[in-house]
Formats: sequence, C-alpha cells, structure tokens
Amino acid sequence: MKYKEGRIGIQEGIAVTATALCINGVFSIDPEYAYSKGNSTYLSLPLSALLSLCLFLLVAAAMKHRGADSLEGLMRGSLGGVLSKVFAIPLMLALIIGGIVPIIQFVELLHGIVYSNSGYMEILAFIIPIIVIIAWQGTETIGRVAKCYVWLMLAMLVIVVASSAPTYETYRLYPILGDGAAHFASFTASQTFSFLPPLTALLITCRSMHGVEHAQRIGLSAGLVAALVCGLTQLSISFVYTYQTLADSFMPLYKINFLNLAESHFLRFDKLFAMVWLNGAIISSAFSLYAASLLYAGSFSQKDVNPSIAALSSITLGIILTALNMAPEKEKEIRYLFTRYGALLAAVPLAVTAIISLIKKKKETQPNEISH
Amino acid sequence: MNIKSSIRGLFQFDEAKAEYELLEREQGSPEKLGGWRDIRAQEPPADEAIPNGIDAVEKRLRELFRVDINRDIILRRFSIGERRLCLLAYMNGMAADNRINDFILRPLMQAKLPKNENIDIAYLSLNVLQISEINIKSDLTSVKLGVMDGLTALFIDGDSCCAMLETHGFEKRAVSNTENEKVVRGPKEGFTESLRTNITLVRRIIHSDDLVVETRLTGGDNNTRLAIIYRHGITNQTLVDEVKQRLAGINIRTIISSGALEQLIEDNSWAPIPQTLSTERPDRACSHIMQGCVGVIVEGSPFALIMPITFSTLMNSPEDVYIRRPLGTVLRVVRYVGALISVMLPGFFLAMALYHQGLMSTEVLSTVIASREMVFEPIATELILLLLVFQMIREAGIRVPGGIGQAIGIIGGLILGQAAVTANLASSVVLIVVALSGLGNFCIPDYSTQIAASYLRLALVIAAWMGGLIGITAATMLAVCCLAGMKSFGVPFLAPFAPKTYTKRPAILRGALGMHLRGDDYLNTYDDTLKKEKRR
Amino acid sequence: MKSVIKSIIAALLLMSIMLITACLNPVSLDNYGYVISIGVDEGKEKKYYVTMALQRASLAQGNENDGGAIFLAAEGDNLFDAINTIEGHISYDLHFSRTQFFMFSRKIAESGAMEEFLSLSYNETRIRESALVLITEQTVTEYLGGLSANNSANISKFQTSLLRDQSRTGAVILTNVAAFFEACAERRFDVCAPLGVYIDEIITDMAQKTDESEGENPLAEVETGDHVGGLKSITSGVAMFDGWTMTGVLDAVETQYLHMIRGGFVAGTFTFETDDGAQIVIMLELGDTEQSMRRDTLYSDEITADIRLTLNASILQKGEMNELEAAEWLNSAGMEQIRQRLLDVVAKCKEANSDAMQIGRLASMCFTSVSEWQEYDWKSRFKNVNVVFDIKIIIDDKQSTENLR
Repeated sequence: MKYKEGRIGIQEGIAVTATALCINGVFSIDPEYAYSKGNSTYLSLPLSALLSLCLFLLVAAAMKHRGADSLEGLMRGSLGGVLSKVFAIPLMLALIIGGIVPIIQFVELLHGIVYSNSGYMEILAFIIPIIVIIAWQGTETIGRVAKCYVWLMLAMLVIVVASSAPTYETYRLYPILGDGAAHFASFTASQTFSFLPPLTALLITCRSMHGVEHAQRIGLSAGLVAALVCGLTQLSISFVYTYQTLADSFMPLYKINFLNLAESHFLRFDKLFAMVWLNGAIISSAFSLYAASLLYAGSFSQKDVNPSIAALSSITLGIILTALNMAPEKEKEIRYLFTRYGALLAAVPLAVTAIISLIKKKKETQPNEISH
Repeated sequence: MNIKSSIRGLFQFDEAKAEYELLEREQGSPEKLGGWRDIRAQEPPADEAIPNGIDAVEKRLRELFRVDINRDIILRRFSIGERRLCLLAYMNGMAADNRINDFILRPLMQAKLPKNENIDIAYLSLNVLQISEINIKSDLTSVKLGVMDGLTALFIDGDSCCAMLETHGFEKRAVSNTENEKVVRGPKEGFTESLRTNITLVRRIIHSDDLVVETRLTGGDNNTRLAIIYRHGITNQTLVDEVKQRLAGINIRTIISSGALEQLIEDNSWAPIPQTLSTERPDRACSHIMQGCVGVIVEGSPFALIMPITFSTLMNSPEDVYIRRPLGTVLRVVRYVGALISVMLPGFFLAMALYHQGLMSTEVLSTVIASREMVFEPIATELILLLLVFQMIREAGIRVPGGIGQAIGIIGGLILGQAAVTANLASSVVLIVVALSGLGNFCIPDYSTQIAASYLRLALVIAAWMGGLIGITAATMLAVCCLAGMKSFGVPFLAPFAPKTYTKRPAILRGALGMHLRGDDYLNTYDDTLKKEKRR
Repeated sequence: MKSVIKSIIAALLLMSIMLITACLNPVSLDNYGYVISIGVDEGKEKKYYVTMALQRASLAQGNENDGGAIFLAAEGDNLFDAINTIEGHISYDLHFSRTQFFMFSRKIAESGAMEEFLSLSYNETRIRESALVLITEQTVTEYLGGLSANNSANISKFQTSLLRDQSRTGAVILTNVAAFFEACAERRFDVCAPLGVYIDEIITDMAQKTDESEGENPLAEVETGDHVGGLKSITSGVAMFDGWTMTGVLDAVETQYLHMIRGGFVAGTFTFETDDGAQIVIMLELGDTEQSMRRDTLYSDEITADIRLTLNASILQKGEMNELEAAEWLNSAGMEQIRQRLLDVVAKCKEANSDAMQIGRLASMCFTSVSEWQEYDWKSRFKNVNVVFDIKIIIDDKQSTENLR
C-alpha cells in the first residue's frame, strides 16, 4: 500500500494538530453570527474546543475497545463495508471544507488589502500548489513542516497580542456573554465545526502517530493548547474592538494594532504576520486534504493514495474558486448553512460510529480491526 | 527513466518503495537494506589463475600490461641463490626503487638457501624477504590491481602463488593547512590526496581498538581505492551495511574524487543541499566518526565524506567546540542570523519595494527613492544583476592565482561598486543589500551549503518579484517542505528538531562540552549508556 | 524524441513563469509619491479643497534642500475627485499607506462632512485606520505649510512629537480614524481630536546658513516679545465631537482636565491663583483612578458617575508661602479649584453634547444584555449626566521635608 504514512513523533503530531485547530478556531469564525448579539467568543470557543475533544476521546476510546488502528478501520469494523463508505463521504466533506475555510479567508484578505489589483486566481496560484505538494509528501513531511513553523506562528501571535495591549479596554467586553445563554450555547455547539476536522484527521492518521494511545495524547494536548490560544486571542480581540465593530469587520486579528497611536516599525508588520499565519492555514489545509485522501483510499480499498490526493486537490480548487466568485447573497446563504449546521457533517458520523462500536459486542474470535 | 514514466508513476496505483530508515521509532526495527538499488550491473571478471612457469607468467604479464607499448611496467628476471628463477613486476614511479633494491633483490639474490628445502613463496616470505607487509595471492586480477597500486609482485618458477610486497613509493603532497576550513583555535592539518596518509591522520586522533578501516575499490573503471571508516560495535551496523550497499551499486566509468562519489550515493542528488558532509579536516571527521557516523575517504581526494548528517551539521563549525561555551553560542547565533540574512534579505527587500511599500518607514523609502533617481533599470533586474556580479567576483577570486585573488575582492567590492553607483548603474541601497547578503553567505561554514544558499536566495528573489510576500511565503514553505522530506542515509534532515529526537545537546546553541561527547540519538548507536559526569 | 519532450516542457515552464511574473501587478517604490498628510478645507468652486503633503526624497548626506515636504492641492466634490485631479498633473501615483494625518478645517468638522471622507478612505485608498485625525482652527493649507519648517527634512517625525506632548503635558489628546469609527458606530462615547493652530507671528528657525552671513547676528532683527524658533503651526487643546460633527472646543488647560477625567493624563504643570492674587505653580501627576457608575441612577434624571482621582503633586513655585502653607493651601483651596475646573469641563462637554469624557463606557459596563444596552440609548440621556469627583492629593513629602531642614 502506497499511503505515505511514515511515522512522526508526539511533538510533530501536536504541532500539526494544534496548528490546524488554532488556525481553524481563530480564522473560521462568521463575524455576523459570532458578534452581532454581543461578544462571548473568548468563552465559547474554548468550550467548543473542549466539546470537540470529548467527541474525539469518545471515538478514540471506541478505537481502543475494538482494537482498530485507524478511524476507517473502526468504521468498517463496526458499521460494515457499505455504511462505512457512506459515512466516509460527509467526513471527507467536513475535512475538505474545514481545511479550505481559512484559505478562503486569507485569499479574501490578501485580495482586498494587500493585492487589490490582482484576481483571486493569481493569488491562489501561489497557495494551492504548495498545499498539494505538502499533502503529496505524506504525514512525515506535514508533521515536520508544522514543527518548523509552529513556534514562529505562536511568536507572531504573542507579538501581535502584546503590541496591541496599550489599547486594551475592559469596557469593550460588555455586555458580557452577549444576549443570553441560548445564543451562547448554539454558537458553542456550531463552532465545533472548526475543531472537529483536525481531530478527525488525527484519528484517520493514527498509524502515523504510533497508534491510538499516542494519538489520544496528541489530540488532548493539541486540543487544550488550541482552547487556550483561541480563548486568549479572542479575549485580546474583544479588548480592542466592541461587538458592534466586530460584527462588521473581516478578520479583526489582522487590524488589531490599528488603534495603537504610537507609530513604530513593529506595528507596520501586519502583512508579515498575516503571511506567517497563512503558513499555518496552508499546513492545516494540507493535513486535511491528506487525511481526506487517506480516508477515501482506506474506505474504498485503494492501494495508493496519490490518485485520491490529485482528485481531491482539484475538487478543493473548484470549491475555493466557486466560493470566491459566488454572488454575495448566495455566499451568505451557504455560509449561514455551514456555520450553523456544518458541525453535523463530522459530529454525526463520528458519534454514531463511536456509539455503535462501544455497544456492539466484539466476537471473541474476531481479529483486531486493522484496516489493511 | 523518462519523463512520461515518471509522470505516470506519480499517479498510478503502486506498491510503496522500500526505504532505508535509521531511526527505530520511524518504522519499528530499521530495515536492513534498501532493496531497490541495483547491485552493480557489471559482473566482475572471473579470477584468472597464475600460470605455471616463469616464462608463461612473464608472457601473460606482458599481454596484461601491454608492456610493448606501456613502458611504465618493469618486469625483472633474476635467480635466487643460482637455483630458482624469479620474476619481479612493478610499476615505475609507483613503487620505491630503493626498497626493491635493498629489501627484495639484494636479500633474494644473496640468499644462502638450504639445499633440501622446498623454496617457494611461503618460505621466502618467512625467511628471506625483509619487507613489512606481504600478501600471498593466487589470481592475476589481484596481482594486476596490486601492481597498479604500487606494490611489487614476486613470482617464483614452479609456484602458482605470488607475493605482493609493500613497496609504495610514489610522490605525494605533504600534510599541510586546510584551504577552506580555517579555524583560529584548533588543529591546522588537513587531509591529502594519499589514502594511506589520510587513514594515518584519522588513526592519530582516534586511538581506539574499535576503529575499523575497510578498504575497497570504487565502482569506476579506474579502480580507485576508498576506505570506509567506522567504530565497530558502536556505529549502527545497518548504517554501515547501507553505505556498503550503496557503494557497491555504483556503476560508472570514472570516479576521480569524493565529490562524484557523494552524488552517486546520496539520497537526493537533485537537491542543491548536500546530504553528506565533505570535510578536509581530520579532527572534524573524527569527531563525527566517534559519535557513530561512517566516514568514506577516496584515494586522490583530500576530502572525507561523513554520513549521515543533518542540517545543523552543515551549519556547525569545528571551532565551536574549541572555544568557550558563551563565545561558541554567540558565534553560532551570528552564523544562523547571517545565513538567514543571506537568504531572505534580498527577496524581502524586493517584495517591500515592489508590493508592500507600507512596511518600510518613510525615511527608508525616501532614501531608496533618492538613491534610485537616475538608475535606468527596474529595481528587480538591478538586484539580480548585482547578485550575479557578486557571484562573478567570488568565482574570479577563487580562480585567479594567489596574490591577485585578494586584490580582485578589493577591486570588485570598492571600486566597481562605487563606480557603479556614481555612473547610475546601481543604487547604493541595493548595493548594500547585496553586500550584506553576500557577507551573510560567507558565514555558512560548508562550501556546498553556501552555494545552495545562493540558489535559494535567487529563487526567493524571483518569487518576490512574482508575488511579493506571498511569493516568498510560498517559496520558503516549498524549501522547508523539501528539507523536511529529505533524508540523509535514513536520518531525517531536520533532526533533531523535526523530528524531535532525544538529545541533550542543543541544535543551534552550543551546549556544555559534556553533551558533545555523547552520541546523537538519531544515529542509533549501540552505546546507549550515558556516563555520569563528575560534579565539580 | 526525449530531448524534444524536454524542450517543450522547458518552454512551457518558462512561458508560465513569464505569464505569472506580472500577474500581481508590481509597481516599483520609486513610481509612487508617499502622502504623509491629507487635509480637507472648504472649496471655492467645488465642495472641498484637498491638500496633501508628500515626503520629499532625501539622500543620507544630501544638501540642505533635500527632504522636507512637497505640497499638492486641488478642489473636488469628494476625495477621489481631488485625487484624480492631482494625479493628472504628476508623473507618479499617490500612495496612501504612509499617511499619518487626516486633517480637517474647523468648518468642515462642524459641518459633519468628516464621515464621508473617513468612511471611504480606508476601503478605497488603503489609508490605515491608525492615521491620526487633527482639526485645524484656520485652513489646513496654512497649517500644513506651517509644519514644514526650514531644515526639517523628515516631516513624518511630527507624529512622535505629538505623542511626547500628550504624555509630557497632557494638553493634547490624540485620536485616530479607528477610534472615530468605534465612537460613531457604537455611540458609547464621543471622541475629541487635537486642535491645530497656525500662528503667523512666530519667527521660524534663524540658523546661519550661508558663508555671506557668517559672523552676522541671526537675532539682529528680532524684537523683545517675538516668538522665535520652531514651527508656525502648533497643537493645543482639543475639538469635541458629537458623533461625526464637531460641537465645541477646549483650550489647553481644559484639555488637561479632560484628560484627567478620562484617566489618560500622565503629568503636567498647572498654575493656580490664591485669594491674595499670588501665583502657585504645581506639577501634577495622575496616580490611581477609579471610575464607576451608580447603577440605581441609570434610568433617573440625574445619572451619576463617581470618579476618584489620586494626584501626586510637586510644588514648583509657591510665591511667598512656605512649604507647609503651600501644602495646606493645595489640600484645601487648591483642591477646590481643581474640582471646580473639572466640573467646568464636564459642563462644557454637556453643553456641546459631546461625551468626550467617555462616561458612556461606564454605563455600558452596567448592562448584562445586548438588547437592554441597545434600548438604553446612552447619547439621548447624556445631558442628565452628573459627575462626582473625589480628589486626593499626595504632596511630594521628600521635597518639603528637605526644605524644612
């Protein structure tokens, strides 16, 4: 089997998973949904991450219970051949969309602010080939590239958050918790759509992480880091902008320093910071793309992951271009659908698989569910 | 393998190719052999037995060495104690005449041999010949190779064996200072072209009984010798086997130096960055061999190849360990900063100048604009041309003999640069950017890595020209992806950083000296016990 | 055949590189003029008169004519109209990413036209939201001209001098475009912008410049009382806003008190008059501040906010009083004077309907629900605000003890 899985250590696993979780958590928010009724994202995002972690741990427990070495092995063992293929499709869709949403955000940012005289395709020409090349190389390369960039991204985030500290005001947090518990709960639940795809990708690439035990440890560490980072980032943004400004803004983290009165070289580096975070979005997207391809190859018994990567890359490019060139009203409708109900794409298959695996009795003579 | 089949190979369903992995954690137990490299396609010729009788031997040797047209080969007939005919075969210039005269011919010709003794090669080796090293061979292939190497072959009438006598005496360069790896505080000796001398230099530093030197021939038709040096019982045996396997798989007409050998045995010969360390310093080579690396020295090349290596190996200088820890740390940080500036500065400057002018302060903007007021070329071509001129000055400085070489640097740097600015062919700010970048390049200790950094710098400049910061981001990420995917004899190139391997020795900063004496985890040596340090 | 395929692929690659090379439209930095300040006045024939100050290119060791500013100005019905007119007459494009100041004349600010300029500017021209906003008492053209003094090669350093003034004297309160957006979108508070004044009587730097004038007295023609040196344009006091419209002015001293109320005051010098007519000069430094709103008064006719100020005082000049007398005066009559001045500033803000004191922030912190806060409509209730000041003055003991010794 030519799956290019290789083996990566715990630090690389945490780097790639945490990068994907943080990028998705910070840059995949729909501002209108998140902020128009007040701002409590600094609480709801970490809770959302923890909720996703719970589902992840449930599935991991099911995998250990059944002795499966990867998610698609678990699905085949507990759901059977046909149903596992059926459930694989929404998972793949969740992975692809989860990976491309930050890319779309960054392309729109670059098109609007940095390269305003260029079209979307010209900007994508620099991004998509890199995603495909990294995904093509397999888990080892993805993990090591993530390890190389993770500290830089964290440092940039800390610099941005720290340099905007002079403009922090507590009154901007008020009214705290926005408009009641119902909205808070629904937003928290729907935001699991940002965190579930990377955790799902981790379950799919379990073999590369030296088994479920290590993958569980990686997921837990990465999830906690992501909860902390997303919470602190959102708190920082909330100290700088009120909910009314945020509801109309696009990627507020990019212009978090604009309220700063002192003019210094540091505060002019917003484009540079955006490029560093773009690296994270590329890594996250490559990880999701590779995981989706691996899931497809495993579920449909392909011997080689290359054709899947090639096909899904083309589909990804098509989806991105469609999203970027769509009419604003149509785009708003689709965004509404995904931000509110997109979490179900990943959550339902994972939950159903886990529950059935735990309930279903394993026959004593049945071998462990090794996928291939 | 043509392009069509390469492209088809990317997309077709296929089994995974077996790859050699050294790290246990990567693939479980490391696999022994690659399995996909071809063993040498050319079968070695069958061994030819030594003919019986001196006349037949002499006739065969004349044919073999083309003595009628090849006057270098000397065939000397003589008799021992007026009883047995003998023949000496040696190469003029390769074998030492005085050794042949004093320790072979004279003792044999003046020997008083007992009458009832069977006089054969074995008897002569034990009782008559006064040579330090004697090997008994029974095939003409070994004789041929030995004579061409500087040994003397002794045949005796009626004996089907031959004695190969150690008589090396060719002219060679004396041990001198290293040309390219100069240090302020540390040994100054460098390798020479003689394999024996180089092995001696290694043995003078490593007085260890587990040091093994295996000599063999390279795969070329010129039959150059090489030595594989490692610590038996410490160095991972699969690594040694892999090195031997790759050396055995060489099938090429000529190998003159270690540079060619390096490209034939490394994992990715297309990559600009080397995956073996090429060093002319015995101390540096020994340092790596002691940790568990394998060294390969080729006859005729004053460079030793060390494998496996990582990126930090290429960036470290031997002097780091010879000076005090804080100074070593500062030097290393300066080196990395210099390398970063060398690679990133021109591209970054171009990106800001073409796409992101807002990143520059008003003062810098106004200075750059004023300096470029009458310069006719666009800033991108100006930068690329200046980078090219810098490379030309560098190449000229290497090629031009001795004293003039230094003057070239001064002429190029000062006069040309100043004249170019005055003539509005270049702007002063761009010139400074190129100069800083060039200086940073020289901070990189390894020559091949310096060249690779120059290529990467140019690629980043082109990427910045095409897309500004996003071009640089894409190109940098591609470079990191290539480095992350590369392996050097089964060791990931970015170890111990990515993947994280257990090591108490920092990769960039210079750690305490005790840490430098332990083997690196990624070498998977058999010596896993850590010696406790005495507390002061 | 192999070499043909390779050549074709190489040619395709080269062509694609050449096509992609120009696709992001690079423009070299020397094809731009970098606008440092934009100013808007009333126009004569068209609606607005837009003036721009660009940084002149300057070499490191250039002559004295290097640097300084280039001024471009044109009329237009809106900003883009003016920009198009200006760009039609110059050989380079205008670049606004280095714009540090957005200046409006008082007339424009009072007409409420600022919204039109500031709302468009960021999206279309890429002027950063961190650009400072400044209101000029006279025309912007005069003010900008007064900023470009002799020997000032780098006009972009003006911004750092304003920041120093804000922290050293407190007589200037800076604001930027982002703060305007925040204030006007949310109506939690109002902004105030620094007020610029052009004083023609100031005699600018009288340096010896030429060989012919060497040895001459550069102050020969200066009379006693003339203000010599520096720029003709100064910044003193603030303009208060109600949303996008300017509704009032505070002078430099009132600005210092406003700054204290807002909690951003660092240090400054104040002059007081005793009942005897003596002058007493005090350096005040703001220590701890505490601001809170009385929740039970939120819906009443007198919405009350409590502001506790701790001021560290150093007596610089005390007339004929000794240390102890001066300290006693400060803790009684002096404190009252400070309180009165603070209340005067509050009254002025209320008169201008400008919550430049930012009391609305405190009100917003009393609400737990967005809908309740949005229904509350703070600005409509602003006139009912009452501020109660609790002032504590800590006099620099070390100085007074030493003098007593």
